[in-house]
Formats: sequence, C-alpha cells, structure tokens
Amino acid sequence: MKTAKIVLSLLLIIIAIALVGYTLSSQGDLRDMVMRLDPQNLASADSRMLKARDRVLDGLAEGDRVRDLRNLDRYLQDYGPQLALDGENGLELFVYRNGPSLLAAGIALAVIGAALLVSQLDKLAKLRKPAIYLALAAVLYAGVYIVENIAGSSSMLMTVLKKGAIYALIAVSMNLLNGFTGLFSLGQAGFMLVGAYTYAIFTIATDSRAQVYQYYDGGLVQFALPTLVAIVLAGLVAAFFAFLIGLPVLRLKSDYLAIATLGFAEIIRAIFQYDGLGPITNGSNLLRKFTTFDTVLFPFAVAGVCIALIVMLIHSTYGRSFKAIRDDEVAAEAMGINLFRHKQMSFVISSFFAGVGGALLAMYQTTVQASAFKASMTYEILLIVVIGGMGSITGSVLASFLFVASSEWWLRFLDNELVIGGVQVPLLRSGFRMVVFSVVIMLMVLFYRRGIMGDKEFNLKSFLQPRVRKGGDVRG
Amino acid sequence: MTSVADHALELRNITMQFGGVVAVDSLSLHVNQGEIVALIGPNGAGKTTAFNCITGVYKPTNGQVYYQDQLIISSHPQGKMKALYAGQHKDAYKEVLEPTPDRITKLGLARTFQNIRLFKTQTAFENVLIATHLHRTSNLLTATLRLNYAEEKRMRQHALDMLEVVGLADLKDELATSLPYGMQRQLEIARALATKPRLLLLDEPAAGMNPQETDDLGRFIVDIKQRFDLTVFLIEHHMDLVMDISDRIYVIDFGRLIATGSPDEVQDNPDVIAAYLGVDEE
Amino acid sequence: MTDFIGANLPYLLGGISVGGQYALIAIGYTMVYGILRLINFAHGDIFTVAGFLMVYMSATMPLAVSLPLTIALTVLLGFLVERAAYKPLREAPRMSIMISAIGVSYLLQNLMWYITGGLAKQYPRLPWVSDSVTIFTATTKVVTLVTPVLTLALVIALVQLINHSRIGMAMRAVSKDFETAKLMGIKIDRVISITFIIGSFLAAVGSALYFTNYTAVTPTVGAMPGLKAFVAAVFGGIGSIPGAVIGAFIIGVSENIIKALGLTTFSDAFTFALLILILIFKPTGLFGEAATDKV
Repeated sequence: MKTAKIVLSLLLIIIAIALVGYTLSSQGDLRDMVMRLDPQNLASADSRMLKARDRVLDGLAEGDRVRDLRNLDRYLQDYGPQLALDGENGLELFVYRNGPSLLAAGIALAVIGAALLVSQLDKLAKLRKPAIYLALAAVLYAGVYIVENIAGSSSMLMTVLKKGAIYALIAVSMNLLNGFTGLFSLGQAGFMLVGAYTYAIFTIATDSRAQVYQYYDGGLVQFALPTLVAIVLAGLVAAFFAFLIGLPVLRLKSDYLAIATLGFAEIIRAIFQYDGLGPITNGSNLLRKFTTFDTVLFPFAVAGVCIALIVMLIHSTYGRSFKAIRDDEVAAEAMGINLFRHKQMSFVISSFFAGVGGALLAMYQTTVQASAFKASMTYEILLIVVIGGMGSITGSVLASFLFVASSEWWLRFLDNELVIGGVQVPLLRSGFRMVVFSVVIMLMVLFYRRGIMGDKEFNLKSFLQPRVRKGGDVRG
Repeated sequence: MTSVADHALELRNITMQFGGVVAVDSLSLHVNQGEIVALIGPNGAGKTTAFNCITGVYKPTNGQVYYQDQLIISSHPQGKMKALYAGQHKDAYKEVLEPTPDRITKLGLARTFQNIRLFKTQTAFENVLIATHLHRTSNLLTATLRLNYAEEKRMRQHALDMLEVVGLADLKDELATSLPYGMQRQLEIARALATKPRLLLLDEPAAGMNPQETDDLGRFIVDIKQRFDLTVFLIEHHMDLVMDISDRIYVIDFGRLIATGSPDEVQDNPDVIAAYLGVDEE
Repeated sequence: MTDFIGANLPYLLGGISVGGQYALIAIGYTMVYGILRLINFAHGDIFTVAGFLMVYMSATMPLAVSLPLTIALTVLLGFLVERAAYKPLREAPRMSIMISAIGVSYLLQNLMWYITGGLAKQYPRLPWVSDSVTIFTATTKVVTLVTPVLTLALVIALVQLINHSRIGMAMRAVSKDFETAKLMGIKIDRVISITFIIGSFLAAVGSALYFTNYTAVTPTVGAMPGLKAFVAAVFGGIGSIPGAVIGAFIIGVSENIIKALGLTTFSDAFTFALLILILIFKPTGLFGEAATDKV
C-alpha cells in the first residue's frame, strides 16, 4: 500500500513538472503557431485576413498577453472556418490560452504529490500535518484561480469570492476577540475605517492627489507607498488606535465594553468626517484613485496568510490563555494569567487584522467614505460570527462566504418583480432579499444559537479517517 | 539565594468590609513553613472572603499580608470607606499594595475554589496546561510561529505530570466538566499544583465527598505536601479531615478569630463548640 | 445682550426639547436594562417604526384615530419583540440575548427599507404643536415648549407608578434580584411585558414629538437618537429613571450648545465622548449603584 502511494506521489510530481514545462514552452511559440494555423497561407490572398493575422504577430513583440489573447481571439472568431484548428493546433491553442490556469494546476499537482510523498515517509512524520494543509491550500488557490480564468474576473461568482474572503478575514478577527477571548466588543467598524483610510491615503497615485483632494489643495500626504507596505501600515495604525482605546475600555464589564467600543467607533467616524482634518482624510468627501486589485487571488492570499496567523496564534500558549479568560476570568487570573495584558493583546491583534480587512475592503470597493462604516457594519460582522459559531474559525469563514453569497447573489431574485401567468407575485420587490435574509438570521440566532460549527473546527483527522465505533460506550 | 522564611504566610489585622457589612474583622494569623493549617468556622463566617483577600481577588479594606516574610498586600480605608469603616486599627497602615491575583500566583501562592471553577470548554489536560503558562518566557511572535517548541514541550510534560499526580492521566482528553464531581475537585488541585506553588490554598477540597474519598484526600494532601515541599492552608467543613491532617487550626466566626491551637485544643474549646452548636460531622 | 439671547436661545430651547425626546426613549432602555440586563438595541428602531406608522396612518385616517392607533401598534410591537426574540433566550448567556436584540434591529431596519422603498417620508403636521411661537425674539415650534412639560409629567406619573403600586413594586423587586423575585411568586413574564409596554409607549410619544421637529423619517433615522438615549441612560445610572431623564436633558442641551459653537460634526461624537468619560470615571453613572459579585 505504501509503495503504491509513493509511486503515485512521484508520478504526480512528474506529471506536474511535465505539465508546467509544456505550458511554459508553448507560451513562447506563438508566432510559429499562428503561421501553422494557416498552412495554405490563405492570408496572403485575403488582405483583411492578412491584416488580422499581422495584428496578432505584431503585438507579440510587446508582450502584452491580455492584448495578444484578444487579437488572437478576434482572428480566430473571424476566420476560424478557414484555419486548421484541429488536433495538434487545437491543443497548442488551448494550452496557450489557458496557460496561467494550467500552470496553477501543475503547481497544485506538484504540491499534492509532494505532500503525499511526505505523508508516506516516516522520517518526515512531523511535517505531515503542515504538508496536508499546504496541499489543501494549493488546491484551493489553484482552484479559485482557474475558476476566475474561466468565469471572468467580474462575474458574480468572483464578486462573492472576493468579498467573501475579505469578510472572512474581518469575521475571524472579530471572532478572535469576541468568540475566543470573550470580549464583547462592537468597535470593529471603527478599526476597519481606520485601516481603509490609512491604506487609501498612502496609496493614492501622487499625480492624482490634486484631483482627489480638490478642496484641500492636494492634501498633506504627497507620496505613495507600495501596496503591501500600505496594507501592513493600515493594520498597524488600526492596532495603535486599539491600543489607546483599550487602555480605559478593557477594564469595563462586558456590557459596558460593548457600548464603550461602539461609542469609540462612532467617535472615530466623526473624526474622519471632520473638515478640519481634510488635508489628510479629505473630510466628508470620498477617497479614490488608490491602488486596487484585479485578481481574486490577491484578497485570498492576504486573507489566507492573516487567517493562518490567527489560527496559529489561537493554538499557541497565548491563544489558550485567551480561551481561559473567556471561560472563567477569575480562575484564569488565579492561574497566573494577567487579565489586562492578555485582553489588550487580543484587542490590539484583532484590530490589526480588522484594519487589514478594512484596507482590502477599500481596494475592493475602489472608493472609501467614512459614512459607510456605521455600527450596522459591525452588526453584520457580528451576525456572521454568530451564525458560523463563536469560537470556530472554520465557522466564521464558512458563514462569511454564505453570507456574501446569499445577500449578493442567491437571494437577489427576491428583489426582482416576478409575474407568473399574468399575476404579479406579491412581496417580491426591491429590499425583500434583505428582509428574508434578516428573518433567516433571526431564526438562527433564536433556534440555532451555536451556529454552524459551534466551537469546533474542521478536523482533518476525522475527515480523512473512517469513523471507528467505540465499544461498550456507557456514557452514550 | 534567599534564606528560608519563618512564616510562609502571615495576616495582620486583615479586615474586609462591603458597604456596611464587615465580613472579616481584624484577622491575624500565620502559617509556618511546611505546616498544614486549617481555617474553620460556621457557614458565612468569612473564610472564603479571607482567602479572596489573600489571593488578591478582593482588596482588603485594612491590614497586611506577608508571604515568605515579604509584604505583598497592604491597605487602609480610602475614599468613601474612610467614613464608613467600622473595624479596628483604622490608622495602623500607611502603605497601599494591591497586586492583582496573577501577580500573587506568580509569587508562589496557588488556590482552588469553593465552587469549582474549571475552564468549561476545555479538556482536563488543557485545564492543567493553562496553569503552566505563568512561567513561560516566549513572546507573542515566537509563540505564534511555534519557535518556542522546547517550552511548549516542557509545559505539556509538566501538565501531564500533574495529571499523573492526581491520577487523572487517563482522562486527560475528557471535557473537564464531564468528569464526576470528585474528580473535578482533584483536577482543580492538579491545576493549582501546575503553577509550581510553595503555598497551596485549598477552599473546601472535600466538599461533596463521602468519608472514603475524604480519607483518600487527606492522605493525598499530606503526600503532595511532602513531595512538592509545600505549605498548605485550607478551609474545610469536614472535621474528621481537619482533625486528621492539620498541624494547627484557626477558628473564625462572624469574621473574627475566636480560637486557635492544635486540633485537640480546638476541639475542646467551649467557644468553638458554641459557635458550631456541636462539632460538625458531615 | 438680547442679541446673545436671541442667537442662542433657539439652541437652548432646542436642546431642552430634544433632551425631553431623548428622555422618553432613554427610559425604555434603562427600564429594560434594569430588569433584564439587556441593552435593547432594537428600541431605537421601534421609535422609528412609530414614526412611519404615523406617516402611513395619517394619510388615510383623521388625526384623532391615527395618533392613538400608532401608539397602540407601537406598544404591540414592543410587546411582540420581547415575546418572540427575548423571552426564548432568558436562560441563555447574556451575549446571546444582546445578539438577538441586534438581530431584531437589523430585521426592523430592513423591513422598513423594504416597505418604504428607501425614500424619506414626511411626518404629518400635528395641529398646534407644529405651530410657531416666539419667545424673547427666538422663534420656535410649540412642540419645543410642550416636550419638556409632557416629559416631566409622564416621568412623574411613571415614578409614582413604580413607587406606589403593586406592579411597580414587582418591577423594583425583579430589577434588584431576578431569581429571588421569581421564587417569591412574582409573575416575571407579566412584569417584563409591562416594562416593554411602558417603554414602547414612551418611545411612541417621544417619536411624535421628535418628528414634529425633524420631519424627515427614514429607516435609519432612529439609530442615532436611540444610541444617544442609551448613552443618557448609562450616564444617569443604568436602572435609574430619574438618572436617565437628567442624563437625556444634559445631552440634549450640550449637543445643541456644541452646534451653537459651530462644531456640528462633533455634536454626535460629543455624546460618545461623554459616554467614555462616565464609563471610565464612574461606570455606575450619576445615580447608579455599584454591585459586588460573589466569587
């Protein structure tokens, strides 16, 4: 059995290398391939066809893959019947067209093969778990990337995936604070706002600043930071705000903590809309023309790394202390855990990731306006966390995607008027979607309080191994 | 290298007043190194309140606590309490030292609770593991990135050892609250031991136990005292346990010390008998 | 001198007026918190619903019918919300019931958005209270003068009820010690329902006064006054009715003073700054009592 798996894993790796190799090599042969498409050189007789073909060939020198693909597609669309699009040419075209997806698939296969190999070698037993997670991650990311290439970047599915990933990060950051440390904080929107603004302010292209800050003489900040630096900065600034706010607020009892954080979030919102700070924040006007992302991989990657860090934190000694505080503060303190310092840690870290989430949200929406970060945004995140299960990271991630999918996509039909057999179906019009949605949430809050995952996580072991029945289990 | 202190624990005129009610009134006592000392008294006498003052859960209204001959807690009536204060020695203490419970535990005082306070969502092992955190040296970054694997290993091993000591090693992956009552009490003791204390404060460790279990517990306490070089200060209602293992006893009623001495002395003391209306045999 | 008064009197009067309206809402919060230890996040939305009910009812019915009917329906709504969303969670951990309140608030807002289509509706003009009146050179609506008087009258009536009636005694008992009151045979469900009924009634009256001044009614218009009323309740000492009222007036007046000083953007933030300050320095509020937990 073992040898078979090792052979399989090596086979996978070999296939992967072959796939990657072939794909890479075919990306360069385009000129030859275009010529080969027209073996009878029909183009020489048809001047328009010749022009179309030359457009493809000429563009190749510049290396703009997107444009090359477009020219190629036009050429194929207009003259397809006259070209030799079968057999080897067909395959080559397919490989060229879907190059990035095939590369991703190849890499994923290689990772899976490597993980399988590692799992069969006893010497590397310690690496088994990380290897499996890496393989799953590879499948996920490759899968998402391939789907994006097929479905198109602006399709509804992609919208859901992008927004879902961002909300997942924010929900997980809130769960860290509320679900794992037991601190009922309602200030998330405030920290998201800080992160979004910090990111936007520092990535607006320098030559666009005069335009964006038109009422404030181009604004105070006159440079732009690289994207990743700005994202980290967004988190740091949010964390800093959290540090300051936490000093007075974390000593309060749970209900009071909730309203104090809510209050601070509102104060932050007022500050960021204040005209006097316009040179930095653009006052009540929105911010735009900052760096955004195209591919779904970006938010997935950033959110993925952040969530991975949070998971590692939770499984560390500090994470266990957080859970102890949630379960019983008095006992935790009696066991030597400094309540304030740990609460502060949890608060600051959670807010850091809320800030990063805010930055991602800004990139997704392409504009940032303080008035959008109201308390209702915090409530939505809270409801997501509750539905997923307080104390379950997997739950928060799942619930985020479900939430975004339902509200943006699946329930959209409820907003459209429907006429069946000449009779208009009652209730279906704009806004009904959110009503149904809220009712479902209320039902879950009332009857399904533990949420989808309760406080359990996706357990790799129980997923991969067949269930073993316990003999003579008295405690049923 | 510090010399061994005379008194592992000493209370000087500890008074705890809530609003207008004086729960503990000028309590002075001491516990010598390596002793097992019991604090007994009728229900509501103020025993757990005294414990809470020693461990920092309550800030005493007045008085001082010394641990290993070092002053660790000191207080005097402040603010509103200055006018309300109904106890003695009002102006005896100038200093104010009010450490949080975690600080006190780090000094070497560990406690168990009268109403069991285990971490409800954690297993037995995790409950004890959490108590090993106070000695950790890794910071947030090294812990998150698992660079502290040596320390993790040590903490886990220590937690396992403590579970072995109380005989719960087999049940380590059971949810703490799913264990039978008696074992939950044992688990609390294991948890307290995991903090590597020198002074162990047990609040009614035998509550709810039958005579056989109480007997075993008594032997267990003497055993761990010797094994881990501890001093034990306990609150108990089970007189047979108290008389059996204590070196000395303090008796309080209505927050005040009414008697002290060896088990025999206290048993014959008329004030004690009066306070209890007969010796309790639970 | 008259210029100073003339310039600032409208703000002061406005402050007292809106303070009274906040007070009526704040009482609902403080009573519910006193009994259930619940921050009723949905209270502000009930206030808004009352506004919309009036808009729709007065379009088809005479005022003498629509006003009492609005109040009755608002009271019914408050009662139903408690029965449906809070009663089932009474034994659950505190966070659950607060999340339920947030859920109800979310639902109500979405419902209102759906029904009204998102455009602001105009509150109907109530006779007499909407009329203008001039005091000392300041022109304002009659409602500005009526509000504090009406508020005080209602508060006095309520305090009388609480201190001198059996149901009031029951309410006081329940807010002091829930478990014991239950064991003593007090019908908890009835006490809680009455609390919500009174709170919703006052919110409905408050909404009639508020929307006479600020006539634009939108689904989210109640969020801010709701929050501010809650801050008032905390400021005055959560659980204390006189505290909530005094807190509300202080907030209303201060808010308008800030507007008079030209810092309108911060008038809202001021309320929250006040909240933070009181939570740090005296969390139990001006008139609240501290409670010690048994370990």
